[in-house]
Amino acid sequence: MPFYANLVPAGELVITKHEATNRLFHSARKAETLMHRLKLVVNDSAIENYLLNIIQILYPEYEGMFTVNIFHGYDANAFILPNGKVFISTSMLAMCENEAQIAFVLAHEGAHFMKRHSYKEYDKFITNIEQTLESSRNMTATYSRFSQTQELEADKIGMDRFQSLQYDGNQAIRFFIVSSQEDPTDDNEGATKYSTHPKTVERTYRLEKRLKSKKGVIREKEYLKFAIKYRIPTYQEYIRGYDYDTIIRQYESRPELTKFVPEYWFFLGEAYRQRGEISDHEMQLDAYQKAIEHAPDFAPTYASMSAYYADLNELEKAMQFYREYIDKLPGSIKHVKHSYFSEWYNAALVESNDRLENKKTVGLK
Amino acid sequence: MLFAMLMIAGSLSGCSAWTYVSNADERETFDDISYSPPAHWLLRTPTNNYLKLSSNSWIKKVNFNRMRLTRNGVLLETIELFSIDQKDAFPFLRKSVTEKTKVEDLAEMYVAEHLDSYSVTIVENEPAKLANRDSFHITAKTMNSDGIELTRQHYGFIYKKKLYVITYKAPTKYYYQQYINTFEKLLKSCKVE
Repeated sequence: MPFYANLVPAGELVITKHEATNRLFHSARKAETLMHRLKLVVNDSAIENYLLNIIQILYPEYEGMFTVNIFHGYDANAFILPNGKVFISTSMLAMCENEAQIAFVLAHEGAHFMKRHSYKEYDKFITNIEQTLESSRNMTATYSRFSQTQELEADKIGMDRFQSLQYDGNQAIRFFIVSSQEDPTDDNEGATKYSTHPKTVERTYRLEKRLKSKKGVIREKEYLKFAIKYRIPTYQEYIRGYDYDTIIRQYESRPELTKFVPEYWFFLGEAYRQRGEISDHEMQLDAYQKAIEHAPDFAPTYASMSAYYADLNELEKAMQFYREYIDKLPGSIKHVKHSYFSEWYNAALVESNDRLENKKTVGLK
Repeated sequence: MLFAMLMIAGSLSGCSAWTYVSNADERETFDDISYSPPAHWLLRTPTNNYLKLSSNSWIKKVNFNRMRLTRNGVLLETIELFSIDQKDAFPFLRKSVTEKTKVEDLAEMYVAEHLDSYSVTIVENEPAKLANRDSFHITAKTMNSDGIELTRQHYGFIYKKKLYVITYKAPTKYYYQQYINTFEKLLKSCKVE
């Protein structure tokens, strides 16, 4: 049976092999253009070259065919287009702990390319890549519409390639554990973004069977040198999206995160503030205090501390932290509360100074 | 983490008409707000709409009212007024708000509910006064799939158990600056009943 026979239902217009390839490449180029037009692609040639080197070593027979791009992505995701363009989200870079884990991701994506899975899933690919890019919020939800069999095949080939380069196979399994901690809906029933992926339990079971006993290379420092700068923006996006659950869950499952990124304490404090349960008030303060202890130059913590004490009507402490925030403001992440505070606090500053000088006082709202 | 959602927007009021605003002194009401629509614009009479929101585990029907104004067509410049019950204001965040909710917290929730996307850039987020009430003022830029940058201003406050939002949207090049003064005049004319 010819290659293209299963691409088109019987009785429909027959598309030749070259036409199918051309259409796929055209759609891939269109998807790529849309990513750039929506300003989703991050220009970071250092990490792109670093990741490109890894995938080229993994798949030397496809030298020159891959390109790696980083895109702003709320979800930890990676995908490959039929023309060899690999896209990895900033959340994925933030989630991975070392080079071995990201190398496994690249090995998995390279396996999809090697086995031409997008050609075999032609109809699904064309429909989904264009539709999901139009909806920027859930744009990464259905990129990789490969079948479960193809995903398992990509895991298998990726694992073999990855271990052949002496990477530690345990990190591939660790990657799935970390990923499921990031998003526990991974293994839920129903239409989640991973509904086309096999369950994590099954994937890790199959990978364990292919595990080599020798401990391999991990390369944590080399990876973090390039990738650590994506962690704070990723956490900031979680807070912006009111995704406090993810921040709290990550901390509970991986408390060591605060060692890599001391500013994480601030985001944890914000997460407790957003969740707003009874016990969260104290935990919020505790987290902010740890942020000041471990990351004293991180300005947004002081703005949040100021707001915390203002809510308790402790004016002097609120002012003290607010002044420290203003001192540290240049070069920090812009804290939206600052503009809302500034009117109130400018008035409060005058009030506070008047009190200190025993001048006439005016009641504050 | 917000789940993939399916939204079905429907109108409960049947056909709604576009009317021409001939006089700048006319006053219109929208729920508990009165305002002066700009002359020579088209006004679409307020409609009651609903969003049917579904995710993996819940389905919710949220009613809201909407009024629209345009000069050259809704795909160009549009001024919109929305009102939604305060308990349904943030269905994805599952947060309800009251008149006591601080404006900065309201702004934060609004951004998380409606503007949390990588294609949206928040340019400004600051307090403002609207109809003599404390409100948030957010300016956001977004790029549509045709590569056209749009700028949208959002003003919002809570009044009589409803969240009111007024927005002005136009392509950044040419159209946004052309009608921004008209929008500001409309804002100044807003009064709460």
